[in-house]
Amino acid sequence: MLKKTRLQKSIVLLLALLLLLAPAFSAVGAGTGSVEKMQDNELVLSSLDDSGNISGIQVLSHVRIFGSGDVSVQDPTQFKLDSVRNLYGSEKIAQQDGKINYSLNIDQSKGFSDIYYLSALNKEDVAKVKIPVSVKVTYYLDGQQIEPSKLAGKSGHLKIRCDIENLTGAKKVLEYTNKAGETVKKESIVYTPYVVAMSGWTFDNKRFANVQAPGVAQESPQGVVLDVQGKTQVSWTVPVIPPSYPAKQ
Amino acid sequence: MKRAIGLGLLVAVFFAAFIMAKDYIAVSSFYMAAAAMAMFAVLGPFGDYFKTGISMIIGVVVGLVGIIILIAKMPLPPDNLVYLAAVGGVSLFILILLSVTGLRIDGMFLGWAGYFASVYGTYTANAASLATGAVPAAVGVCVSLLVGLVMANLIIKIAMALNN
Repeated sequence: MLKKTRLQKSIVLLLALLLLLAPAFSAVGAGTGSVEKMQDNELVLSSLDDSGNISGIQVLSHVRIFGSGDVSVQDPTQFKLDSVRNLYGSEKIAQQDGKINYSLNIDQSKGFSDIYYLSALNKEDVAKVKIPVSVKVTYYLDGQQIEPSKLAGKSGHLKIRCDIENLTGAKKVLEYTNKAGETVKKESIVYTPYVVAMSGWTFDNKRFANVQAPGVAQESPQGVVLDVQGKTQVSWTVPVIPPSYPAKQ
Repeated sequence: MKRAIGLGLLVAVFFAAFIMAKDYIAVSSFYMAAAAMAMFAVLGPFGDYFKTGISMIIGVVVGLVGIIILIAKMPLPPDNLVYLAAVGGVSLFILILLSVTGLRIDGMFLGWAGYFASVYGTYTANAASLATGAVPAAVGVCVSLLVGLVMANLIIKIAMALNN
């Protein structure tokens, strides 16, 4: 009698579990999803060394897929990757033949699903990457150029110079209609517009005094200096948009 | 009585000095030292301090391994509660298994919990920073627990002085 009761309980438990897990099993097994549209936002994170040379590049991708069911995605990559990491989900991401491959189950209640992954570029391929804006940082102590690694423990008048250049300029033939209604063709260098935001420069007031962030007249804007909780924070917003603003500042 | 007051002042100064140095040992949870002190004080004058200390360090190490696995292999916060629960559960199960070797389970739990209390805020806010901060935090927690051990010894001496 006792055995029979246990068996009945086990069967009830099994049936309950099957009912709960049935949607999950059917979704995994389906594999016939449809994609309505995709949104792909990519944030490129470049790590620079002391002198502004690129030492590493990571790309944070946020892909939002609208549709239904299970879908497979192939994201072609231009460069070799050292690693790809799914940040917030458990979907397996593989890279093969210059493509990042993964499968995603679209959330039926929302009509879309998100996946975030972080890719690290191969060290050798980092050199091949042409970044749109170059940043060069130079340090001077009492007027003499110095490597930042040799600054520790020294005192004097410190000057940090940042050179930024928009490298996207390319010759293009522009065609437009002038006031007389004539179609005019003109060759010109066209740039992709960028605004460089430099932030995170923090100077401890115990070690630094009289922090200033001047710009260069007719060339670059001055920075913003904030003195908060014993630390001076400096930030710049620099538009490198020719012809309104110089490409190199 | 004079001896008790003297030792009490020594504990107070020592603990205050430790709080002053909190920024240099990569851990801000100085209250962990107080928790460890309570734990050691309960052991009494003839307690097994060495074994308890080793157990705490083992707990910290298990916590460190757990957080490394969470950062490197598991989905990151905020929607990763299942993975966090799994790692936490497995960690505590490992601690229980380790207790079979004679290590103190209370000490291991305190070490593990102390480490997680120290790094969990950073893990949820900026997990990437733990790539460089996880090990220094473990060292800081071990130092905190060691400070608790030293202070507990002094407190027991106070208690014994008062009894005499």
